[in-house]
Parts: sequence; structure tokens; C-alpha cells
Amino acid sequence: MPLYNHLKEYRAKINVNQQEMGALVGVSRQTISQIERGDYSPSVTLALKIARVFDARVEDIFIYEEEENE
Amino acid sequence: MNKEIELANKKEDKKQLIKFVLFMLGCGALGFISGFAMSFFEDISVTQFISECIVEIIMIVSIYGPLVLAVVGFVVFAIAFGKAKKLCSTWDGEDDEVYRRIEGFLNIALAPTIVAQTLVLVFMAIGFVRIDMLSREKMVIDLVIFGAGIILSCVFMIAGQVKVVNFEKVLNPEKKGSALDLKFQEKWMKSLDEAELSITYRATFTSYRAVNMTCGILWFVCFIGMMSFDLGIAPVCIIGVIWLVSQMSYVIACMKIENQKK
Repeated sequence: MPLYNHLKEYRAKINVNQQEMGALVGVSRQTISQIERGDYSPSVTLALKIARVFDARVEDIFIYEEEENE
Repeated sequence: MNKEIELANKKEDKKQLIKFVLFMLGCGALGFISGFAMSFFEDISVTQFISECIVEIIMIVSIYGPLVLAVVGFVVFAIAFGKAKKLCSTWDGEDDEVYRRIEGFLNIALAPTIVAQTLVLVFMAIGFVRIDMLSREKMVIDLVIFGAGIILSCVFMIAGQVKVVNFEKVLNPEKKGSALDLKFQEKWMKSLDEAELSITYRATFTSYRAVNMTCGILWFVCFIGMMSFDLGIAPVCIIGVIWLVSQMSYVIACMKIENQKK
């Protein structure tokens, strides 16, 4: 499932590293890294927690694009 | 709608039927060849000779094995753990490539401790049987080597796992649990996040499938052993118990999880 995100840019805006971001939303540093690389799609709960940290909408941070052959 | 699904099921089953029949014929052919070979080798007393050789080799290995395991395991552990520590000292806390290499070295360091965990028990059981069979003079020497090997293997296994777990907790401060705690697995699992749990569950299912396949192969080996090498019925029964426990625990766990209310 192609889920793109701007997590790294949002993180840079509030100047937190991956470890700190993970601590804020209750996941490990690697999970934040995997989300940013697109290797892992967060659950709804986690996506909402991330959005709340930046005071933004989930749709602003995560973008779902249909694949061309679907 | 149900009729369409039934028709689709029948179509798929027909497609797979030929492969399944060929597989069953292959198993039958293997059984026939094994049975023929068994009776042939039994006639020329090869099976007894092979069986005695294998038992003798395993018994000798069980005496010296624990010591070799401890020494080789420690060397592998020391090199891999040292490399992990060195990399960690240069890690900036975000570089994924470096982190992956550190984890790779930690897995290499952990591997001999996990191997020791199982093999020490096997060597211990067989070793005691072997020592019991020896003369008094040989028994003392072998008992010292065997005893030292068992103790060193146990110390290496425990100390190695404690070091790796503590190092993991330095890399990932959110992780909880001491390797010396009897409830370590429970506490460690509780500190995993959703992504790590997903990896654990997928790996566990792969392991479940591997155990099932291994039980099938071992059943065949023990069946041949029972007929040709006079192994007795105990191995086949033990394999049956392990296989049954593996299958039933999976089914029961699925039912419990489905019925669980969040």
C-alpha cells in the first residue's frame, strides 16, 4: 500500500530527532525511521498520535495514492 | 453468491488435485524405496554397524562438545559484540545503515548463546549416559572435561544473553526487562511497539511452519530408525507429542484471540 508521508519535514519544523519523536508517540526510534522511509504504515491510532504532536491533520502528514494498475 | 464461491472452490481444488496426487505418489514411492532398502541392509547387517558407529560418535561428541561449544561460542561472541560496540560509539543516533550493521553484529553475537541453550541440554543427557559406561580411570578425566564444559557453556550462555539484552536497552531505551528475570519474555514483549510486534508475529508464524515441517521429516527419520536401527517407539511418540502441541496451541491461541474483547 503506497502511503507517503511528510513526517521528516514536520519533525524538522519542531526540531525533534527520531528518538524524541518516538518517545512522544510511544514507539521506538526504528519505527519512526521505518515510517519515514515508507517501510511501515502506522496504525490509525499511531497516525492520529503523530498528527496531534504537530497539531496537524493526518491527511496533511500521510498521503495515500492509488497505484496505477488498481 | 454462495454457488459462485462453491464453483470457484471446486475449480481451484481441481487445479491443485493433480499436484497433490503426484505429491502423495512421490511419498509412496519414497516409502517403498525406504522399506526395500531397510530389508536389504538389514540382511547384510549394515544397519547395526551404522547404528553403533553413529551412537559412538555422538557419545564422544557429548563429552567434549560442551567445552568446544563454550570456547568457539565465546570467540564468536567476543568478536561480534566488540564490533557492535565499536560501531555504536560512532553512531549519531539516526543513521539507519549503521544501526542495521550494529543489529547484525548483535544477532551474530547472540546466535552462539541460543545454540548453546539447546545443545547443552542434549549434551548433558547423552554425556551422563556415556560417563556411566566408562571405566573408573577414564571416567574421572572425561567427567572433569564434561563438567567443566557444561559449566562454562551455561555461564557463557547466560552472560552472553545478559550483555546483548543490556546493549539493546542502551540502543533502545524504551525496552524493558532483565535477561535474568524469569518473566523476561513477557516484559520485553510488553515494551515492543506495533511495528516490532508485527515483525515478531510474522517471524513466529514462520517458526511455527518450520517446526511443522521438521516434525514431518523427523517422523519419517524416526520411523525408519524404528524399523531398521531398533530405536524403539519412544522417538516417534515424542515427535507426535511435539507436533500435536505445536498444532493445538496454534489453533487454541487463534480461537482465544478471535474471542477476545479489546
